[in-house]
Amino acid sequence: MSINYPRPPITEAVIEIRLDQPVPKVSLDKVRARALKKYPLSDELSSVGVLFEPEKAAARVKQEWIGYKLTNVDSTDILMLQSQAFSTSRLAPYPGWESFCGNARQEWNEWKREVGYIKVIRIGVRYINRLDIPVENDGFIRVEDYLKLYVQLPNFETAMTGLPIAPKMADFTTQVHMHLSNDQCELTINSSSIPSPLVKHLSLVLDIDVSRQREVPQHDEEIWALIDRIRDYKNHIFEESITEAAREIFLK
Amino acid sequence: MHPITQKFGLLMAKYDPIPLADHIIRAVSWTRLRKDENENVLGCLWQAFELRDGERYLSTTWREHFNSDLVQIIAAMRRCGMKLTSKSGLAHANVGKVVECGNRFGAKLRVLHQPMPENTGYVAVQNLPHEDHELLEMLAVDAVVETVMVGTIESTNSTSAQ
Amino acid sequence: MTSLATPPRKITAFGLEMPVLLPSRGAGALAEEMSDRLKQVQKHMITPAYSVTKRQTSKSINFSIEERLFDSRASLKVMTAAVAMHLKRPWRDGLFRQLDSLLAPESWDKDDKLVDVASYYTFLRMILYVQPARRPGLGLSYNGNLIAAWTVDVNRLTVECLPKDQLRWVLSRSIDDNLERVAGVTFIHRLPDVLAPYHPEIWFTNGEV
Repeated sequence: MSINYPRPPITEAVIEIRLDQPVPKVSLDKVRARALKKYPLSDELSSVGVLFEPEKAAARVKQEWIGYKLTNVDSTDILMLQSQAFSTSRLAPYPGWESFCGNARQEWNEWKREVGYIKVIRIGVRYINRLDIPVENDGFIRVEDYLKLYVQLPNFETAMTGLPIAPKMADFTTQVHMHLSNDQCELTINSSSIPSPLVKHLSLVLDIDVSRQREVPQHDEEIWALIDRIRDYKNHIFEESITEAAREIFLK
Repeated sequence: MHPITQKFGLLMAKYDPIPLADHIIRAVSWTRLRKDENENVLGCLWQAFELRDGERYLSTTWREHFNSDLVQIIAAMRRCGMKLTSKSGLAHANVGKVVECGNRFGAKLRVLHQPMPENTGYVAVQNLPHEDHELLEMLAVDAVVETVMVGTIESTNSTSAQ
Repeated sequence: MTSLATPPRKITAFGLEMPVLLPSRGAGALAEEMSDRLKQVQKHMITPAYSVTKRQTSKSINFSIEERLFDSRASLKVMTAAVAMHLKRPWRDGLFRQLDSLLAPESWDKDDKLVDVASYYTFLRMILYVQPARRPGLGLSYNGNLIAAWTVDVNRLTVECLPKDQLRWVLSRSIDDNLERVAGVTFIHRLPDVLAPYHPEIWFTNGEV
């Protein structure tokens, strides 16, 4: 199921493949060197944490190199070469699945040519959507008018004051995790309100991540066939999560 | 040598005002040239005449002092440390119109010749208000009579020299 | 029915701030478990494109101006990507060409400041609100504020984009053969009302948003 929206609300699309073992840095350096022509903006990624050493009654900052984040000139395509994951991201404007997935597969082929086979432990496809909703003069929207995944609040204030006051949220964040019956996949949906980049609008995030971590295919043909199927599941989930009013916003 | 007069116990050089019929040239970087959506240069933005923090007067060069020889003017500006690229503009402003713009906004602008060893045609426009962007817009529109690109001047000069 | 209020105005870099508020700190095991869960949610909300695990930036003085301009161009384009679904492709492509030109090393004045991201944010919000069909010419003030300028013959509109949705604008408009000049400072949502008496369609039409 796939509806081609003229202005899809996708802010980022991600395909990620996670690995059982870390990739040697020297191999990632070679992949990076070859990718720089297409992705000239290169950042190093590292995680920073605090390591407590109770025996010394001290704490120190621990920095660990993770990999590279490569970005193209237009800052629309991003290639993440991490020590235990490969991923590609596409920012808006979204060019369509064929283009996005085709590019991801090409980059994976390049990566594999250099790195070789490492056991795959997780395959995921994630789409982060942002619904920009015009706000009326009173400054409120009803989340359920746009999303079928929403928070239902009791009438706290009515209970406390006896006055018919409908609950009004300042903001919300939810995360739902489910096991899907399709392909042994997992679904994580994050939903949140955020200040909108548009004036007189309010934005709702619908972040859909479908992944597989059990009996993960290892051959490229099966990996990419699964990714195609995951995309279909994601599309169904998206369409089921939004209302007609939401659809109208990005059908304009 | 300029005559020096005593004033309130300080030695001050007396700087001559520039004749109203003459012109001063303001160097304008690419970022403060007025352009259309296709990067065609149309003139100056008013920000080209805005004083930076700490600046007390606007730096310009007297065109007629160099007999309107723009190549010499560019050289003098560079000797003062200005970075002029091919995409810099030279905004030619009529001194009389500069003063008139100031008068219309209640600012008594003084356009004074302050020769320096690096640029004997250096001119300071004094009493320019920091915050009056309407006056600066008027300078950009009414006082500026033309804007010429440094690249055009230098390529014409090199063609002539061949 | 549950309503959601428009949040108080705060500048975010287009969705980087996901509101996961950590509650009052508890001491028990369940309080700690909930705190960990919230932190995981917060961490999960950072998308790969905006991953903020330590990044080498070129804000260090050790980076050349070329590198800093390159980074600046890239940052502005990432910001634009967050709203690219609201811009027609030719408009966006033209804007990127203009940014490349504005922040080109060969024409850069070393005393200038790079484009202030808060100013660019205001610029994008203004463009999306006003929806001019014609792109403006772009400039930059000394302190890094982006300038949008529209010119049609003697009719000029210059808007300097300040942080927090503020606009400093000046216009010259020929009306009934008289040139009127007006200047002011206003917020984005007021700009159409402020410009209405001067028929801003002269600047904004004949293009592709």
